[in-house]
This record gives sequence, C-alpha cells and structure tokens, in this order.
Amino acid sequence: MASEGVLATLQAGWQALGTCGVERAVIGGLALSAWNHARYTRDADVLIAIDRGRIDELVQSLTAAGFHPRHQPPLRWIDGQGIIQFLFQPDGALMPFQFDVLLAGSDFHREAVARAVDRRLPGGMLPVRVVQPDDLIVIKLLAGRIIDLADAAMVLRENRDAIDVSRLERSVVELGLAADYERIRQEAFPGEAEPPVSR
Amino acid sequence: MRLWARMVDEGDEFLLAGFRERCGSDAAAQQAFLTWLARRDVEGTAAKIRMLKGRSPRPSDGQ
Repeated sequence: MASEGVLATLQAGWQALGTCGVERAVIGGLALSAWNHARYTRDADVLIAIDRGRIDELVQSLTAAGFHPRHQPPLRWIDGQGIIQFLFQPDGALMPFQFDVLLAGSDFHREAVARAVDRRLPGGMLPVRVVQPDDLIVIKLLAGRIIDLADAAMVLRENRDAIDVSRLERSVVELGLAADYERIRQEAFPGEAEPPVSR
Repeated sequence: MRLWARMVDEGDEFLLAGFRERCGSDAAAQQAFLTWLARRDVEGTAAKIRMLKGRSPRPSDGQ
C-alpha cells in the first residue's frame, strides 16, 4: 500500500538523519496529518538545521540507507535555499517514494525545528518530531499556493486549543504574512471577529 | 493519520484506474502516473523553496 511506503520512507530517512545527529522536524503533508488534517500526499518532507559543512556526511548516511539522490550534486541551491531530494523504494513497493530534506536557513525555520514535538505516526513507527501547528500554519502561508492556504486554515481550525496564538501572530507579522493569516483565520472561523483563542 | 492512509491508498488506486483506462495497459498506466507525479513535483518543489525563502513584510502586514 502506498501509505505504508510513504511511512517506511519517512522512518528510514528519519533514522538515517538521526545517525548524523541532525536536528530535524517533519513538515508537509505528513505534518498536516499529524495535526488532524489529511490530504493526499506521497512524499515525506523534513526540515533540518545543519552546518553546511556536514551535508556530505548527511548524503552519505542516507545513501547508505538505500536512498538515491534525485540530482547531482545532491544539494541544490534554488533562490538561495538548499534542498536535497531523494528517492527510496521500500521492500515490496512497486514505485519509489520521495524524501525531501530542506535546509532551515532563517531564524524562524531553525526555531520551528528546535521547538518541534514528538508525534507517533501509525504503522508501529517510532515517534518523530513534527513542527508545532502554529509553525506549520506559517510554513503553509509561506508556501503560498491556494492549497497551502486551505491547509493552513484547516490546521488552525482543527487545533485551535493547541495553538500558541501569540507566537503565531508575532510570526505572521514578522514574516510579512499578516494579510494572508487574516484571510485564513476568517476561513477557519467564519463570523468570528476576535482571535480564535484567548491570549 | 488513518484517514490520511486511506486517502493515499485509495487516491493511488483511483489515479491508476484512470490512467489505465486512458492508456490501456498496467505498464503504460504506471508510466503515466510517474509522469503525473513528476509534473506535480515541479510545482511542489517551487512551493517548498518559496516556503524556505519567505518574503519581506508589506505595509498591509502591520509593519
């Protein structure tokens, strides 16, 4: 089953990154699912905080675990941002699954990794660290597609009691996302003029 | 998470059934599925880069 393949890919990648001692957090569709919003996604995305000098070690660790870099050289810089994309084919899978490692370059991204929390995913997986829901909302607002804004609204709605609204509102102002945040807040809580959770 | 697993598993089956109907064989359907995933990945990678890069605050953002 594809879901088992995605989870097996995350587990193998998570462990390989762990052997390097890399600070990391799950983002993307799996993080959405961990925070009560499911949507179709076949890849596993991990945000990492790492010294650039250790990238080769990271790639070697993942390669030794059966991951294949999608590009050569594996680390690509696009618009100044680092991303390493791998394919992994778990035993018995018909097709490979994508495992994307994204380099945290800003204070916000590094802090999001640092304050990620343990969440247990299904299939007997060991716990993984997942970015907190307010950070996931910011991440989705930054990604900026219509589907990302819809995801952000759903995470806000489904986790209203778990979200640190003060931190979220501070982040959206600092990162230039206040207008988009207000839009998704209205989507999440139609008719509510006040912030969704008391501060 | 269970809902996500169902969505992925049934989504894959749904997509593959559609490609099979269009392409005729399992092998061709699988190839079409991979092509679709690759196209989707281009858009997804661009969104991930945007997410990492961020953007400058605008006057409407309260700064």
